[in-house]
Formats: sequence, structure tokens, C-alpha cells
Amino acid sequence: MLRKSLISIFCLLNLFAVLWMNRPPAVDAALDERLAGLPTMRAFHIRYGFWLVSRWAHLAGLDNKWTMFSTLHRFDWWYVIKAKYPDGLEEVLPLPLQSPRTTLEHMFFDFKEAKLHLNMYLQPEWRKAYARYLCRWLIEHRGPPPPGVIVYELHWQNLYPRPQAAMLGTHREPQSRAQVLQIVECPEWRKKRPAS
Amino acid sequence: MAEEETRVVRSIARAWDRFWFGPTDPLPVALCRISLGVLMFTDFLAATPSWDRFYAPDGMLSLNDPAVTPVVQGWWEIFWWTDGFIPVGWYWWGALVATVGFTVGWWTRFWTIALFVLEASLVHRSPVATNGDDLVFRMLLFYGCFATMNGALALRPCTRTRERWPIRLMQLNIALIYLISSAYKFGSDTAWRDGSALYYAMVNHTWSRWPWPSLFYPAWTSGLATFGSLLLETAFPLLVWFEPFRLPLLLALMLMHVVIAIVLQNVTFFSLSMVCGLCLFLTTDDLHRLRRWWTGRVTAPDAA
Repeated sequence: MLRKSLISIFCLLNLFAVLWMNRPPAVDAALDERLAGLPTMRAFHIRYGFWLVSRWAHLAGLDNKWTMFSTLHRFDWWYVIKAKYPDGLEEVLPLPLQSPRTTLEHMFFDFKEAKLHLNMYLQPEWRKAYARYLCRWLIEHRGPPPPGVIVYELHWQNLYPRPQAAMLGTHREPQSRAQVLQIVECPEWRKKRPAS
Repeated sequence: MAEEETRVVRSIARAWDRFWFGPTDPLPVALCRISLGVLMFTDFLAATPSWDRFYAPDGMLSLNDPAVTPVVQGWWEIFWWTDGFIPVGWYWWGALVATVGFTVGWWTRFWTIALFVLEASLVHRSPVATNGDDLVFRMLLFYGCFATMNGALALRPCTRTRERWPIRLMQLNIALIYLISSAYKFGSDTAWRDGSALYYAMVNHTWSRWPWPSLFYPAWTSGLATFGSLLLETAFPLLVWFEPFRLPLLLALMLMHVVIAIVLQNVTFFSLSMVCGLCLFLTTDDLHRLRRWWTGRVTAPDAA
């Protein structure tokens, strides 16, 4: 009986953790409002309880938000990631999604690239880390001259709303647009390294 | 009155007991294990060229670059303990061995735990390189640590009858994924309400490899696909528990995921990982029925 009770609690904890991690923002707002009316220590204990649930969800790997295409882009977008060298030369880097790829690479090995770009979309710090990785990679694999900066260009092309696409017979605006999204300086570490 | 209440409480307790602590049906669980193992093996193979870029300490989210705020690394990650003396490349080999052991059902629980720890570590080491399939694998493996995944079709089968609560947790979590995402879809984007969501998905060059996007220009095709998928995803978690709906819903959803895996790019592994999870809702009887149906279909022309 005790064993089954403990297992039942464990099951409920996990299911609650999934629901808690996927709560809509309105739940947080309502909770804040309720907790504001409680004595400080009681509110603290309740918040601590929810924090523990979040922590458990993180450790157990149940902390994902399952949105699955819930918001759809109204535009095609893509990065063009370039290296700029001190002599003014500019190069589109030979990376997945922006260089010629074999069918195997495109269909199989590049399977994480689109999500990688999507994950970086709202995270300038991750873009910076990736750019500096690319600097290191270029220096190690190409040798001098080291690139000065890595440039992220964001390109996009608006999609017509469906009725307009049906009327025009095409779903994309003819022109794509571009803007420089981020410029990241390459590290200087190579120069400080002893010659091998 | 008190007697009536006691009767109700007892019947709820019995239903609870049946639901969580009944015996596991080993064949569908084995099917899930094998399909999941094969898919993870393929996923790790596909990650080969990018492994160091994603997961090495000096990879794209470097832990050593002073100019970058490193992603917080914690004890709940195998790399945290082994950075500096076990190269991350070795874990790739470990992953392949573990998925083979898991798939064939040899030392199954050990490999399940090892794969869970590895998947969790990969997600924590490089959240930027995390896909939906990693998260489904991690969830199934977590519950799999408590389950008997090798009750059938295994090199070293476990013959003891085990309770099905870990399998129920997997099923409920899969059901919650659909329920939660349906709610988000309905609430987040008007395209899911006006029937143009599948149009936007099928014309987007990042996700779609569908060669005839104009097929989704008319309102009826886009609307049918949008509302059909939304209806299926909403109905599944609510109705799958009732016998008359279970198999039709399950087969329809599996078919939907296979179609998604074909027509949408970059979500193939995720879509197929959901199919692996859906196998857990099947029963041994379903599998026999499907086999009989398939055998009849294949042999029917000969008989004619």
C-alpha cells in the first residue's frame, strides 16, 4: 500500500511538472496576484514549492515547452554568415544552409541546422558564441590571415496571406530584404599562442 | 450516505489501481523500444559531422571563451564530471553502443539509464543544438528507466510481469504534448483559427520540402489540412483512452506523423520519435489484427 502510494505521488508529481512547465503566462499573473495577498513566509513557501517542481522537471528532462508550430512565420528567413578580413575581403562561410551541399548532407547530416538557426534567432549571446567558434575554426583550418569579424546578415522574404497567394498565383513577395543583424569581433587568442 | 461515499471512493481506488498498476503489455513496449533504438542510432549517426561543433568544451557554446557568457553547466551532466579527461567524441561511440544494446534488448535497463544520462547531458551542454526529437527521446528514456522495456523481442528478455505505471507515464506525457500544443496553437496564432496554418507551413522554405505549394493556396485544402490536423491532435489525448476510438485515432496520428516526416524537412526525427511514442498505445491484439490485415492484403491478389 505504501509503495503504491509513493509511486502514485511520483506519477502525479511528473504529470504536474509537465503541466507546470507548460503553463500559460496568465497562470503566473494570477498566481502573483494571489500570492501578493498572502503573508510573506507563506507566499515564499509556495513559490519555493513551485521552484522545486521546476527544478525536478529540469533534472528529469520534463521541462520542455511543447508548442510545436503553434506560431507560424509570415516570412521566409535565413542567415547569411560572413567572415570579413582586415584587408576588406568578405567571404560567405561554407556552412550548412548557405553553401552547396550533397543530397546526403542536405537530407541527413544537416538535420539540426534549421533548428539551430531558429534557436539562435532570439539569443544574441549564442550567435556571438557561434561566431567566435567560427573564428577559431577558420584560424585552425585555414591559417592566416585571421578574420577580423563575423557578420550575421538576416535575410527575409515576406509570404503573402493565403487569399492573396491564390489570387496572384505565388506565395512570396518578389523581393527579399536584408539587414546586418550582428557583428562579432574575432578573438585575438591566436596571436598570444606560442608558435608550435 | 456514508456507505455510498465509501463505495464511490473504493471504486475510484480500484480504477486507479487498474490504470496504473495493471500488468504491462510487453509487445507494444518492445516495438517502442526497437523503433526508438533504431531512430536514436540513426540520429546519432546523422550528428557525426557536427558532434564536436555542438558538444565539445571548445565547440560553438565554448566553455573556455572569456568573451562569451558560458551556458551554465551543472553536476546533472556527464560532461561536467569528465571534461578534460574523456573527449566528447568518445560519447558518440558510447551512444552507438548504447543504442544497439537498447534496441536488441541486452542489458536493457543499463543502456536505458546510460542513454537517458547522455541525452540529458547533450541537451544541457548545447541547448542551441537541441531539437524536438532530443526532448522526446529524453522524456521516453526517463520513464524508460523505471519500465520493463525488454519484456518481449529482446536478447535477454525479462519474464517477470511488471506494473505498467512507467508506461502509463509515457502515454500520458505523449497525450499531454498534443493537448498542450493544441491549446497553444489555438491560442497563439490566428492562422490556426482561420485555416491558413498549413498553408504557411507548406510554403515556408525552411520547413517544407513539399514540391507543389500551390496546392495549399485554395481555402479548402489549407483549411482541411489545418483543421484536420488540429482536430486529430486535440481529439487524440481525450479519446485514445476509449476503446472504439483508440486504434483509428492512433493509426491516423501515426500516418500524420509519417506524412509530416516526408513533406516537412528538419522535423523528420521529431515526427518519427512521436510515432515511436505512439506505439505504446497499441496492444498485442492490435498488432495481431494489423498483421492479419496486412497478410490478407498482401495475399488477396494471389488468392483472386
